[in-house]
Amino acid sequence: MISKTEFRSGLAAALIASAALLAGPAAAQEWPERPITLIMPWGAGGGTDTVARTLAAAMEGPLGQPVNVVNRTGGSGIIGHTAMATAAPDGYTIGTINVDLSQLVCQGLTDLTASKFTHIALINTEPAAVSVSAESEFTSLEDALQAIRDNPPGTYTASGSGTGSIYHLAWAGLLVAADIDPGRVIWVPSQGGGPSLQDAASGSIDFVTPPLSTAAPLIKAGRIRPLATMGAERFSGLPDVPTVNEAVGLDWTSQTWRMIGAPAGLSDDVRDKLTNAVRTAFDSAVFTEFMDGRGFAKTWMGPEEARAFHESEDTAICEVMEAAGML
Amino acid sequence: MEPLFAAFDLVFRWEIIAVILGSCVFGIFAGAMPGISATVAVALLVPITFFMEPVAALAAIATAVAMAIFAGDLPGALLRIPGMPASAAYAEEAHEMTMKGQGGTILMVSLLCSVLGGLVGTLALAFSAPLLADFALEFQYYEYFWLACLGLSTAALVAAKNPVKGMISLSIGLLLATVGLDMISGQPRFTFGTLGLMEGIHFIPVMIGIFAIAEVLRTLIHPPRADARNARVQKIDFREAYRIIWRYKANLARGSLFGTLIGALPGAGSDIAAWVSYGYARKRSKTPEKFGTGHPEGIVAASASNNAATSSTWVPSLVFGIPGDSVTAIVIGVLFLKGLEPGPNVFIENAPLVYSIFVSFFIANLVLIPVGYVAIRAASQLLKVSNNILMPIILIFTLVGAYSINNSMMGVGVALAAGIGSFFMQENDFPVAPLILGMVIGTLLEQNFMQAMIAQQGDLTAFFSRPIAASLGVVTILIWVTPLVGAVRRWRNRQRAGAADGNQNV
Amino acid sequence: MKFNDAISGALFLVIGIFAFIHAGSFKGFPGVPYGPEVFPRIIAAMMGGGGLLLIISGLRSASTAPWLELADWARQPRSYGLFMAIVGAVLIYILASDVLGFLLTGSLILTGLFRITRGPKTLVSSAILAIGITVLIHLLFAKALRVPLPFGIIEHLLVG
Repeated sequence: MISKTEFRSGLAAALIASAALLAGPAAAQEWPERPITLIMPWGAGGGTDTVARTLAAAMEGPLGQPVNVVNRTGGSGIIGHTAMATAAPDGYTIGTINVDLSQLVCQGLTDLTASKFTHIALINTEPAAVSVSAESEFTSLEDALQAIRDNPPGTYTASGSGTGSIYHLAWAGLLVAADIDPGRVIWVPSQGGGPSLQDAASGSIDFVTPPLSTAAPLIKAGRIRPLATMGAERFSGLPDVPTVNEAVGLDWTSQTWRMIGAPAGLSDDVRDKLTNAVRTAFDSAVFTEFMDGRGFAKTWMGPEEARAFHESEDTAICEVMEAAGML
Repeated sequence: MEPLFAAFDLVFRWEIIAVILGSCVFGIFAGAMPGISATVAVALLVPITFFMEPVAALAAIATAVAMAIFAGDLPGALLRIPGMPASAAYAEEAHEMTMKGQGGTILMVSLLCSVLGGLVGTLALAFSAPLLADFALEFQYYEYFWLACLGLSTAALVAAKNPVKGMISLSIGLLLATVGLDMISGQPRFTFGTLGLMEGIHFIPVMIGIFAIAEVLRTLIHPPRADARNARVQKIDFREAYRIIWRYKANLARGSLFGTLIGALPGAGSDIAAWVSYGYARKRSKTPEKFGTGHPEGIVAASASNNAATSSTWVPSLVFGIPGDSVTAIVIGVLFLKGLEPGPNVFIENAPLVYSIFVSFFIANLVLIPVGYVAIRAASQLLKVSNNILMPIILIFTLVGAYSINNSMMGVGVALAAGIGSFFMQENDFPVAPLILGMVIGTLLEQNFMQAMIAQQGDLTAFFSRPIAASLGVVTILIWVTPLVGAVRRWRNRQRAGAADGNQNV
Repeated sequence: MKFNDAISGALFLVIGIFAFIHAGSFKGFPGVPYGPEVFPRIIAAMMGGGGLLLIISGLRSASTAPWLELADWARQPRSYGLFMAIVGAVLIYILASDVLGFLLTGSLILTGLFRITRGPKTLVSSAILAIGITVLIHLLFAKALRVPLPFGIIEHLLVG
């Protein structure tokens, strides 16, 4: 519990911050001299949105300017990503880049490859996982995969997000790695990780693939049983859940990731200032507390590393989609 | 009882009360402004809540939402421009009462019903959250599908005068809801290769166009209505307000119950609750023909239900960590941030804190009364401003609102097209309410229908194979068929009579 | 401006048929049996059917209901001017505000509209009112609510 004095000083800080905001920016000579816009391709309240808002609030200190999170939704994220990539590369428009973009590139719905962005930093990766209803007959991933092999196609259903989304890909890729035709399990699209977990808990879906951090409340409520995580390591919040490798000996990992980026052509000088601001926010107590609280993994990659990773994902995801017959 | 007293200690402190009052004012502003939704209002609060202790942070959110949902009625009743989607169901009805000079009174009715509905929802949240959560988990695609159909049946009732035009209006709304990238296949639909349409057609700019821009057009172009003079002065008649609420107390109870149940379902929420309650009030009314002419019965039910829903939306979030809507998705984030992990045990492990949320819900609802009263008094003054000044100002506000939904000019374009379209629709006696309803419910309807079809491989019997689904289905079909048959018969009789008259004249 | 039901019916029949056919071009996702065209086609059929019913009833009453009935407002030329002014104001906002910014575009549009609704003699008071309201909206949305408004010439001058 936060003490009264802390609360009061917090309130004071909030008041000062809003007063500063209303007073308008002071005359500054170099970037940033006005508020920065962070374009968020998903709706307010989602996972990426809350991460971005927390980070943006923590970036205001080091930058000395407000960072306004602006939701530009629609088109599975294409709209927001396009708005960010086509903005002027002056450092006043930044945005999040999500794993979903790579799939959309593979499906030919957009041409926003890694080369269309300036990468500032990667801040988070989140491994997918396989979970079932607590009333399910399956207690291990091995049994589940065997049952899919033994039963006729269409016996089981799986869900996690939209068709062709990262969670769908994670599931299809797992089946391909286990030498099972992904078509044997019906993929029922859902609006996202949360809704799919509800579908599993209500018994309409056999397997779901959202990360363990999303499923944790339902797992602790005794409604959902986790079988395995698709991360390279176990999830710290639920250390009893094995990785896919430990469970069935398959070398399959799949994760979502979130980056902060800017339009291509941003000057190195501004980019480095942005990377520093993101780093300061990334290390801040508020952000750390928030990420730990939600069970989100904090992962850091600098500009060069993030770009290389994004490029490798652009090709790797297309390969998996090809193999799973999703293209 | 012990946790409850501890909770009172946590809440009754000047900081918390100050936060609640501040959020109240903020909520009024956000709710009354078309284009600023409750979600945006709450998202704006998030960075500020970092600096607050948990009770204050959650109280701020709860208050702002409750206030915003009520405040949406203010421009809806006074100007026929609902500030929030949840007010759209009865904006026209309330505006008709304003034209009779009863706008202040009906707003008072809707304020008190909002408070009572909110209190019922809070009680349900406090005492039956785990039960409600189990109920919500019973809902699969089939139940959601029928719930969506039940919501659509409101359109059949609202458009009873001309069912064919109502059906066309509904289909426009449903088609508009499919524009953009399809969730099921991930493929573009009706985008004609343009990036702008890939964004999809957001519901709120359409609502802004249909109500605000069309209203500006109509007000400036049409000669003033004969009763426009009455609308200048809006008295708040408390006695009449109490009488209305007492006369329609059954609607108040039903509205609160529907709101609580529908609000607890993830993905449904206060918009749908308001429509279903309004439609059902009409269905059960002894005087359904008065609906649409400035009749308070449906307003009582609907304004109670949308506020009841805002409280019970917290149920699945608190119990299972599944957000009921985008507001509670933000709430979950704040809960985690404050070290409160959602789950059934939250009621035991963090009892004082959880109960203090309920207590602050209660206070928020009670504070609504004085703050809302002042807001009604202040907003009524708007009607004294000449339309020559007011209408251009409304137009510029709508442009800003339509832009801020998705921060793109696309929203302004959509609002303009919807405004012109709705102007001509109303000139030709097409009701616009079914269009709005189609957009509100279209996605829920299509997704659950498609998910059920895919999961069951096209087996339609699945829609009746479970008890809740089967009963919802039967009710829906009955509601659809009875008035439709009656209306079609009446319509044909009228046509025949009209044709006979025509012949005689010749 | 009320058209005979047969005309509006024909319009919706055409839209329904077009939507039904166009939906056939939607690409499905490999392996998903119920594609993106199913639901829009059901709705399009509903719209087309409604249009058909309207055509029938419109033609039946064609002897009594005129093809186009002008309401009172539609007989006054001033109405069309007002209509075009409002639509034009929105179009100008869409086209110009990204360049000129909210403050300038908003003030200009409001001044113009006030001048039309209040009469030509009020230009100065209209302009003052317009600028005041635009600045107020800017403060409310851009400053207090942090909603981005179109950023243009004046905003650049203010910020530097």
